[in-house]
Amino acid sequence: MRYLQICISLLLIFLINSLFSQSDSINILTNINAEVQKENYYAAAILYQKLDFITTSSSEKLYAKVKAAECFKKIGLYENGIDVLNKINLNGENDSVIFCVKFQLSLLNYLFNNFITAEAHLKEMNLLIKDSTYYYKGCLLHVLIYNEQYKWNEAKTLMHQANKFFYRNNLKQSIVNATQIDSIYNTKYFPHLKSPSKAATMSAFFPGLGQFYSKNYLEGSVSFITITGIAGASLFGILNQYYFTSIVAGSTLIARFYQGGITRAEFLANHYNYYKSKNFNSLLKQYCINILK
Amino acid sequence: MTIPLRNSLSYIFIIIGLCCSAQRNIDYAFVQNLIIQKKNTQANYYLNYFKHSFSDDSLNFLRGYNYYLMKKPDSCSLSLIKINPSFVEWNKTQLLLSINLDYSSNINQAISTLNQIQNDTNPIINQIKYTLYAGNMLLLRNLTAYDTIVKKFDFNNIAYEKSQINLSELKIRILKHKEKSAIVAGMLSTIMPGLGKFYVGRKGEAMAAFSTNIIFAGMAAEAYYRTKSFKSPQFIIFTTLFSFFYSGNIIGSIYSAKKQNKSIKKQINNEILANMHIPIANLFD
Repeated sequence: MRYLQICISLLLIFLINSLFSQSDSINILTNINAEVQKENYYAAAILYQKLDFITTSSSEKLYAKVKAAECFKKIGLYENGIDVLNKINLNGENDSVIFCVKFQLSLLNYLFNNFITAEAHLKEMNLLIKDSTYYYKGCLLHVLIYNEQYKWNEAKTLMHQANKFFYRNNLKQSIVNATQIDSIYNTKYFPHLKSPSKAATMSAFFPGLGQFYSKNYLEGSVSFITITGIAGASLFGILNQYYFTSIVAGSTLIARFYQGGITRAEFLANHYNYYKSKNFNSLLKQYCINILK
Repeated sequence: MTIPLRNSLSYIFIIIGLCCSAQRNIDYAFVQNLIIQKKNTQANYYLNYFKHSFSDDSLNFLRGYNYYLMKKPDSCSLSLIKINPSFVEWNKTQLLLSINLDYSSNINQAISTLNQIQNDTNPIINQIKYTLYAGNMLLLRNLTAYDTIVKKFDFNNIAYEKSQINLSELKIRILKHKEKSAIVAGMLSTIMPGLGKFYVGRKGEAMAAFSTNIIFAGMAAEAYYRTKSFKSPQFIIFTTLFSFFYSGNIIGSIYSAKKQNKSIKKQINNEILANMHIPIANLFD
């Protein structure tokens, strides 16, 4: 009789617990809906994580994680979204799930300015997925990533490949024609980027030359005039037999300005590259977004 | 199948009660999980936004522990101080509160918090309490009280053994440490630029001060040698520069001595706090 009582108790515990856990999931989903309606996506993201924590169903866990990442994306907390999605185990999942997770991961990394990881996720997605349609669905994001990495030729090739695919399959994106891609990715519009190391070497050979190369003529002139001025003053001091003062003060000041000029030339080249490519990329980004629309 | 009705009903009520309490604990477990995953901001938000899901003590404990991990000792103390003595982990909570009060520089309040801890059945908690007491006495530089407490140390568990040894070493360092005199540092710098800083223990700064003064003195001497006049503009400029650096070096040495004394005291205090903190971190791990 005692054993029977124990068995019944265990059965009741199991039944009531499963009943409570089901009602808990429903309660959480109701709370999430309320938070989403209030546009409080942060609370919604946390509640999705709670749903992931309490549920035992693997599909519900996956759903909760993806939705939590989406909520974080909406409020610009890309890193949190990446953190949630990285916990998903994709072993044995079908192509659509792999695409959904990896594409989101890549997008979040792209938005987080982590372009190398974003590209790695897309490449991993292409390896894991068997259906080539998904490969082309991720193409536009890949193009955007290439643009940010100044790989415009690769971006152009990828755009053409995707365009051909969409054209063959009569998909929405096939409205773009090859001439449009060629015109926007015309090499004559590519920004001519400056080499920071070249700028540094030029400034090392001739003070101010690196700044001129980086298109900053004022700073180049100031650097040249300052160093030659100090050198001239030191020479004047030596000619007037102020050997100690001229050599010590002159060499200290020249060394400072000379080294500073080299570092500055390198910085200016990077600065120039950043703005030039940013302007060009913003045009390309607008173009890609228009295609998506 | 002839289970008495009264027994069956009581079983069902017990089971339902157990299940309800288990569901209430889900929120607690979820926040703990967020904390373990180092999502402290999210845990904090959840605790503030969904506070009705927790009992007062659980809420304050989780908040306090989360603030402790977020390195906010003031907020942590404010939360932990509200917990009632009936709380299950009261002694552990008081230890955590005490170290956070120490980090907020409320040493006397930390000691009175430790006084509230009753002798625990767990010897580790008692030993950590003594370690914290001893640490507080070192922070107050009350070495006699420290010696009394140190007799209770058993150096017997990996969780606090190292800290207890380190505190004894720190006591020796406190005894050995002699403060640098600002007057001596200033006088030494007057005799020879940089010597005061060398005495304070800042060798790099001493070398820099010495070479700068020598260079300006050399320039002033060269100006005099060339012009043979104390009134020449070259001599006046370099002598003025030398005077600025020379007097600046003396004042700097005085400040350096004071700063060095403060910095060594702060360094020792930080080491004491770290050694008080390690057993707590081990306890909550």
